[in-house]
Amino acid sequence: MSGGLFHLSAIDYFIIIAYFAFALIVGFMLRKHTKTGKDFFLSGRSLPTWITGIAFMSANLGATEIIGMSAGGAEYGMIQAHFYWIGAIPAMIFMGLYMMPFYYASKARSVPEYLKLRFNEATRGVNAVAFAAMTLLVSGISLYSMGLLFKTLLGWSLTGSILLSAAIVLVYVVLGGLTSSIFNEVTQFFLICLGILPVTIIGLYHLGGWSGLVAQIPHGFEHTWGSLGSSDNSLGASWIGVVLGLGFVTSFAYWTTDFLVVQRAFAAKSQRAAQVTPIYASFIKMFIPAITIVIGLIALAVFPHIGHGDTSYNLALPMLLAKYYPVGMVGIGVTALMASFMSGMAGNISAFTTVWTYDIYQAYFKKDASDRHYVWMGRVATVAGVIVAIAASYLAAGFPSIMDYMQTLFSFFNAPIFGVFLLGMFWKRMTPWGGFWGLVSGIAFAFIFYFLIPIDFATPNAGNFWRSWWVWVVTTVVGVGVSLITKPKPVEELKGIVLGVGKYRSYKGFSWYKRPGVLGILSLVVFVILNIIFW
Amino acid sequence: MEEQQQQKYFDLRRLIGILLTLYGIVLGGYGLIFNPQTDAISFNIDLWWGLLMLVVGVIFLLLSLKAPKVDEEEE
Repeated sequence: MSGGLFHLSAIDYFIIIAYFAFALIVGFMLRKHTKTGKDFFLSGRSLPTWITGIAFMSANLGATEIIGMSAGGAEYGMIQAHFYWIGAIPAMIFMGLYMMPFYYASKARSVPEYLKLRFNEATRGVNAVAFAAMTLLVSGISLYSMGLLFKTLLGWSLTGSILLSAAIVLVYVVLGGLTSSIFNEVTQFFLICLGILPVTIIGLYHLGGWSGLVAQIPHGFEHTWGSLGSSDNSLGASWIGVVLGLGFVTSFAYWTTDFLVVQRAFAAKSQRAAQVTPIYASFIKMFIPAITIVIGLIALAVFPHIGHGDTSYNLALPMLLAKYYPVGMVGIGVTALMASFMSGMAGNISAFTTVWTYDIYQAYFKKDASDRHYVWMGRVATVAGVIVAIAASYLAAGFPSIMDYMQTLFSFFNAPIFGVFLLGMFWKRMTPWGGFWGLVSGIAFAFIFYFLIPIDFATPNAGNFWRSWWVWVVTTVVGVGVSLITKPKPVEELKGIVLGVGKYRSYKGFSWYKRPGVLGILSLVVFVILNIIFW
Repeated sequence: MEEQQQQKYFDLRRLIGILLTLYGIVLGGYGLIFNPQTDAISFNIDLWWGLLMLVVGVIFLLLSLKAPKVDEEEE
């Protein structure tokens, strides 16, 4: 218990232990509920919309995100909010309005399964294997960063905290499957808000409000668009790079095709609910910078030397917690971080489990087993996944910046998938082999670009934006080219899953707050207003 | 009937309500008795934030008393 930033007292331990007891009890209760494969993998498509909406958003709000984005706020300033605004909102609205109807109508259990229906077995195989690998790597990142956090904050040993966290996630997901990880996600969302928001409130109070804060940070750090006229800013990218790379490719790729998040909407109870899910999520997403980026700015004002010497930007949030929180609140803050870490990890593991069981094991190893057998296999995969993630956490330890490592993984893999989806969903002439070669060439090009083409980007972020953009261009060009010389799928097989063969349902006659279109426009308006306020 | 029973059992509003109410009582109670301080601010954060969590928790519990709405929406 030596060398940590915090010294926990009995009350803090009580608060932390109460959360884990709660999570495990819910897991045990859910075990009875989880009888069929559909329950375990898709929550029986029965969850209320507000739950799937919060889960959709918080599936990516792990502790890595909270710690990493507040570090980003301290390092780059308000400009980092682009990851929450242009880098998320338009994509989430587009997903709800234009892509979800095809996903939902296809009755696919996973994103790779949609690819199989739309293209062919080979496309699905490439996607499933790549996704499974990426999920485990990302799980490793969250395990490692959590271990590091506990080491810094509490003085626990790195290996000890990694193993403890892995064990808890394991018990939790094995017991309840997707429902338990969704439940955990929603609960942790409220805990994170209630546990971290006081830092922002106390900080702004302490520094004299927003204007007091702005006066104490470097000039220009309060703007999002103000310095994007050229690439001569902290992000190292101009507005073109931000809009094309982040706003278009990276963000659409992540929010519309990453199975980890898309899976949340699959659990919704109707097509309308599935469509509204990402739009609900967008309303919450827009305000998350208040507990990430703004905290980074506060840290910069309070500790002007952060990022220099031996205080890393990653300590922005932990240092403020230690400064502002008395005994008791510290327990709440640490519990919130632990819960959000567990939720991120559990989400990754349950997505891995689904893809492994349906898209790899069932497709290539054992075709016609009983439902019970697949549920059993799902539990085995969970155990195996957690063990691999522990190994991957030591791999993550070798990279200097965890957030950059994660963004790079996304640019390698999500950008080509997105290229294929965009063509596949909106162009019925796209052929199965067009999809396959588009995907393969996109992934291959990402590797070539990263390892063989020596371009020095100003920052890793700028590199990721531009790589994503060009990977998408290559995927699209190859996809269209191959489609023009190969044979398309018969139209009957595409029924409902491609634009022009299926059509959009109208929700006229529903009350306005139930209509995806109306909610989408509302979300867009709030998004524009926020960008103007913090231009 | 069994379906309804199950929904009540797993009502997330109730679970979150229980957790937040418990945290609110523990944190607020601790603040009330010990009033722990940090050097940055002078008011009793534990007490006030504990009360807030208690209120949020109770709101969730009250919401969960309402029968879960079953949307009869065609797919």
